[in-house]
Order: sequence, then C-alpha cells, then structure tokens
Amino acid sequence: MQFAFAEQDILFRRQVRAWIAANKPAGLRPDDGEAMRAFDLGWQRSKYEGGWAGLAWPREYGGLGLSAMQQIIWYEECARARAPLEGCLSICLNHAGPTIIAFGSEEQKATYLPPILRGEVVWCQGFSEPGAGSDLAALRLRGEIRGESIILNGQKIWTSHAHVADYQETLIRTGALTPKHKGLSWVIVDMKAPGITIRPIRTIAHNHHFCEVFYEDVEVPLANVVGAVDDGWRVGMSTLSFERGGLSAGRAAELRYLVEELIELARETGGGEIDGDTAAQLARLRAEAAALQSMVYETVFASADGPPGPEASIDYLYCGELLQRIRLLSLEVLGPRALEAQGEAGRWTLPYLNDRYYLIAGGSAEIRRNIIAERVLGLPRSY
Amino acid sequence: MIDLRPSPDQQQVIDSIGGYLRRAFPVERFQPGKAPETTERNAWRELAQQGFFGLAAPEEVGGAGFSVIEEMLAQREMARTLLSPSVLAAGLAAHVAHAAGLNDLAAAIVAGERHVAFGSEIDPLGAGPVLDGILHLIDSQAGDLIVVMTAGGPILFERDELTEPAPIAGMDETLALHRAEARSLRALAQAPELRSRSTLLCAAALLGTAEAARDLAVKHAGIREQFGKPIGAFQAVAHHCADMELRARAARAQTAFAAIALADGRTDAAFNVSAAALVSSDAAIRNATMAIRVLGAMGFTAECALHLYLKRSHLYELLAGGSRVHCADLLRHDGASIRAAD
Ligand SMILES: Cc1cc2nc3c(=O)[nH]c(=O)nc-3n(C[C@H](O)[C@H](O)[C@H](O)COP(=O)(O)OP(=O)(O)OC[C@H]3O[C@@H](n4cnc5c(N)ncnc54)[C@H](O)[C@@H]3O)c2cc1C
Repeated sequence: MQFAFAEQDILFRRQVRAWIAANKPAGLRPDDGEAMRAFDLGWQRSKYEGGWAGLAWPREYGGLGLSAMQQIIWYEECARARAPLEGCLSICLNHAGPTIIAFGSEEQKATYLPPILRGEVVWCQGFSEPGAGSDLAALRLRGEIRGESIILNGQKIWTSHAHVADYQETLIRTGALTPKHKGLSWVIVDMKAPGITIRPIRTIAHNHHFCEVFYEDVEVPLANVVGAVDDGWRVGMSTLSFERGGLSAGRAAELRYLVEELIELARETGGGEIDGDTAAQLARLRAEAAALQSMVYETVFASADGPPGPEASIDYLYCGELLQRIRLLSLEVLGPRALEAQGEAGRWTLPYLNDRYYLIAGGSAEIRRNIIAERVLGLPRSY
Repeated sequence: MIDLRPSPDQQQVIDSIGGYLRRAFPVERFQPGKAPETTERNAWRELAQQGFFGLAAPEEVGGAGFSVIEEMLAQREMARTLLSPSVLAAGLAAHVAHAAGLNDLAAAIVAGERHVAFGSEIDPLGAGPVLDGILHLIDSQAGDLIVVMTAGGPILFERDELTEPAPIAGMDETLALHRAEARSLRALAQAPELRSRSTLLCAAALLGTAEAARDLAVKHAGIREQFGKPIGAFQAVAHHCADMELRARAARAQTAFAAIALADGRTDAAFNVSAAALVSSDAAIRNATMAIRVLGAMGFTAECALHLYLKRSHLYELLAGGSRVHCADLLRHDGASIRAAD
C-alpha cells in the first residue's frame, strides 16, 4: 500500500495548476439555455487552444492520452480552483466521442471528433423514453431502414440539454421488440433535422435541464449508424469512456471543498460558533468525504489497465448519497433563509434541489444496489 | 504511485495471520455450552511466539519491525475472528513502553511474559502521570498490565495499583468486565505520540468487524430459502447487503489511507485517522445491526456470532476514543487537511 507522487506527477500538477489559474472562465456558470451553452463551449475552446482538450482521448484522435494519475491530478486541480467541469459537453467528451472512437468508421471519426475537441458542438444523449427508464432496453423509438436512410418515429424523454444540442447519440429500435436487448442501433442524429420537435421541461431546480424530443419521419443517413445495425446495445453500454476515474476523483475533491464551504457557512451563520449537533454532523461529513476520496483512489488504481469494475458503481452511490447529506444539512444551517432561492441562500438551496438527480439519473440508487448485490457480493439476481 | 490495496507481501501477512487465527481461534469457539479449549490467555505464550505482540515493535525489543500498515492489516484479521482485544492491548502496550524508554518492559510484553488488558475510562483519569478516575477493565486479571486510551494518548500501568477492581456483568459475556478506581496512581509510561496509532488500530478492528458481519449476512442470504427462493433474491434483503458492502468499502479505503498517512508521517495523518475511526465505527455498528436482521431469529441467538460483532463494535468504538471525540477532533482541523494529493 502506498500513496506517493513521482517527480513528474508533481511537475504535472504545478503545470496544470498554473494553467487553470490563468485560464479558468470568469464568473458563475449560467445553468440554462444559450448562455450555458456559450459558457461551456468557451471553456472547451480555451482548453483546446491551451493544449488541454481531450484529456483521456487517445493521442491519435487529438487527445492527450493522459494516465489515470494525470487525469486525477487534472480534475483535482479543477476542483481546487473551483474551475467548472465539462458541463453540457460531458456527453460528447466522455461518452459519444469515446463511443465513436471505439466503434465508428474512419469517416465518422474524421467528421465528428475534431469539432468536439475544438469546442464547437454540443451533443446530447437520447436513451431514455417514457416506457424505458431503468429498464432501458425496453426502448421503442422506431427506426425503419429505407434504402440508405433510417426513418425515425417516436419519442425520447429526459434528454439533458437537447434544446441547446447540435447532435444526439440516439438508441433506436431497428429490429424486433423481443428479445429486448437485440434489435437496437446507436445512431448520430442531427438535432436540426426536419421532423424533430424539442420541448424543454422545467425541473424542480428552476431550470430546463432536460427535454422531451419527438421524432416524426426524421430521416437519418444509414451512414450515421455507429457500429453495426442491431448491435446498439453493445455499442451504447460498453464502458467506453477512456476516463479512468479522474472524474470521480474530481467529484470527490469537489465534495471535500463543499463540506469546507458548509463549515464556513455554519460558522458565519452562528456568529463564529457552530452548535454541537451541527458540528457533529459536519465532522461526519468531513470523515465521509475523506473516505470517498480514499475509495476512489482505491478503485482507480485497482483497475488501472481496464474499464472500472462494478466497484465504481459503489463509489458513485456513496458519492451521491453523501452529497444528499451535505445538501440537506446546508438547509438546516441556513435556517429561515432556506426558503430563499437567490443570492447567497440560492447558492445552497438550488443545488439542494438539483443534486438529488445523482440518485436517479444514469442508474438510480436502487439499480446500483441491485448491481452491488449481484456483481460484487454474488447474490442471486433480485430484480 | 497510488495503491490502496495490500502488496503481495502484505497479503501474505494477512493470509498467514488470518489462516492461523481461523485454525486456532475459530469463531465457533463461542457457541453456548462449548467452553473454548484455547483461550487467548492460556495460549498467550504461543501468541507471543507467533509474533502477535510485537508485529510493529522494533527488533531491539524482540519485535518483527513491520510498519503500522501491516499492524493495521493484522488487527483487521484479529477482529474478524473475535480475538480478545487484549492482544491488541499488548501490542499497544509494547509500543507505549518502548516509547517511554522502558525497553525491558517492552521486551517482556513482546515475549508474552506479561499479560496486558485494555482499560476504558468512565470518569477520565486526567492527563497523568498521576491518575485519578474510574475505569472499566476489559478481559483482565490480577497481575495484568493495563493500557488505557486517554485524551493525552495511551498510558500504561499495573492493574494491581488500582483500587478494588469489582467484576460486573458485561454486555459481551465473552470478555470479563471490571469496574475499578485509580487513586493517585502513577503511570508506568505514557505516549501522547501514539494516540493516532492506537486509534487507527481500533479503526482496523472495527473494519474487520464490519466485514465479518457483512460476510455472514451475505452467505446466509445466498443459502436461506423462503417463498421458494434464496432470501438474497428479495430486493429488500439484497439492498441491505449492498449497504453493508458500501459501508465496509468506505471503512476499508479510509483505514488504508489513514495507515499510509501515518506510516509516511503525513501532516494530515491525525485527520485521516479520526475519519477512519468514525467511518469504521459507523460501518461496524450498522453492519452488525443489519446482519442480525438478515439472519432472522437465528441472528438473535447466542449461537450465531453476530451478537459478538455487535458488542465488539461498541467496545472498539469506545477504545478508539469515542465518536464524539473524533467528531470534535475532526472539526478542529482546518481546511488544510483537505487535499490528500498535495
Ligand atoms: C437530471 C436528469 C438528467 C437526465 N438526463 C438524461 C439524458 O441526458 N439522456 C437520457 O437518456 N436519460 C436521461 N435521464 C433519464 C435517467 O437515465 C432515468 O431517469 C433513469 O434511468 C431512471 O429512469 P426513470 O426516471 O424512468 O425511473 P424508473 O425506472 O421508472 O424508476 C422509478 C423508481 O423505481 C425504481 N426502480 C426501477 N426499477 C427498479 C428495479 N429493478 N429494482 C429496484 N428499483 C427499481 C428506481 O430506482 C426509481 O426509484 C436523466 C434523468 C435526470 C433526472
């Protein structure tokens, strides 16, 4: 067991720290609409110009091919500097791009990858449907192959940032409904294509994080299928992200700073004093945030050469639940100001509302527990 | 390099200690009506020969000279087989004696010539070296050395210097419990610098306890059938098990990180040790609690080891210094303790 940084890692950290300090975007990130899009693209463009685009992407596709350690350092330094993460570009940088790298044709790679790195495009992820949430493979958005095209009819829902996106990575049903995992295809859909209607949905956190997307005879070139037709489940579900846990390390670091900010808030609110009960809860949060960071370190380097195992799912769940505890305590600390959603209080109350999606989206807390019981503990399937 | 998993050498330590303990001190030894043939006390010399009391003690006092990391890993195994906390007490006592320059005493402890037991403060003993207060003695007899974790770190003294230790019924019937009083008692040795180390080793014991409870529950959930299938196929049960894993995993990673921090003399070591104690106490107590439920009435019996894991959880939480104290300590650190990586 060891925890030590090589000389080159220390140098790398210094380099990253200096660059982020000089280049991180000024001002708060808008959390909706065109302003948000412009902010996230601007940050990506600076990274591109500074030589920091595509941290985890292989070098042959314009990325930096950073090691797990270097990725961790990058994200920890972002957290330290309170620099934003990828925001609405997370899908193209961490999912759609890597999927195209792994399964795409040379032409698809040449067309779609460079604009992602340059910060010119936003992608969204059209997987969930009204009838297909946790049971994603039950999806039905119909894709009928006609000559060199696929004609889409149906609906997606909960598509984050669809209203500001240029492209969508979309899972569609080109084959039969059963067996449900067969007959799916992964396609690139141009969000400006005729027949697409996007309806933003207002969330509990006062923004339009996600949308309903309707498809009426939308024509998509057959050449936009990534991987083979009817093989979309494998394409969409492979843990493709080259991201080696750097993001989870960054999230862990962010949580540690968040606990510190909450302690600060508690001190200010209490005129320098923190009452005993709150103090004990804050101490526990500090301990748990430290534990989260230790877990992530363990996981990342236990699977340094391959995709993260189901352990990563445990860390994510721990992270999500810890975040809920932090957010809930922040409301207690705010006291009567917990009713406000603007100014200093809003900095806490809006995330309190927003961050609960960590236990719903992309594998709910319950689904993650199913996975832990089955794949980590070897219990019989319970769902 | 970051690697929070045991190295092959460390794994060997785990396997050899764990293997020995499962043979010599199987958990089943505590089943009611079955007076254990071997007790830690009557096998004390053998435990000494196996190196249990001097794992991380320096060679000059007969120790094996391992680091606090191996010591932590060993302690986790000991707790899994419900070894008496006195074995940990002896290991700690050797450190305390050595730190105070009492090398002969340290060597006698490592060699198994002195029995050692834990004390646990009821009415704090004060900062020493002269002690006044009330305490519990855990699994002790006349003639033992007593090691107590105080606010000023672990201290060591002779049990016979205490006023009238009186036996009282204890929650954990496998460990003799006494109440005793210290009146102007002089400590043999005191080692404030070992505070984090003794807390860490208790955290390791709590970790082992949390894992052992999880393992019993998971095993049972895969075998016991009701309504025509293993109860682990019912989601309510499966999710209880998943939660046990979640907590055990957090405890494991944080205890490992804290051990490394202590071994490397990092400035955030005390912070990380307190965090390990809190997270591991929570894991141990809650895992034992849920495991008892997963085993149903079987879990409610004295025949099943789970009640001992529960009772030991509470004991080690106190021996670790108490969660209240760690909460207070954790808040005293400033934000500097944040960055594990710096
Ligand atoms: C903020 C946000 C952003 C999102 N962004 C996207 C996006 O960009 N693209 C996209 O495709 N999707 C997106 N989603 C959708 C997300 O992936 C789904 O919400 C998620 O998969 C759960 O599906 P559901 O909402 O239909 O809930 P359901 O699957 O209906 O689940 C409802 C409840 O039942 C529980 N449950 C369901 N099945 C089981 C089971 N087998 N065992 C135990 N409990 C079970 C769940 O845990 C949950 O508590 C987003 C969601 C949110 C909240």
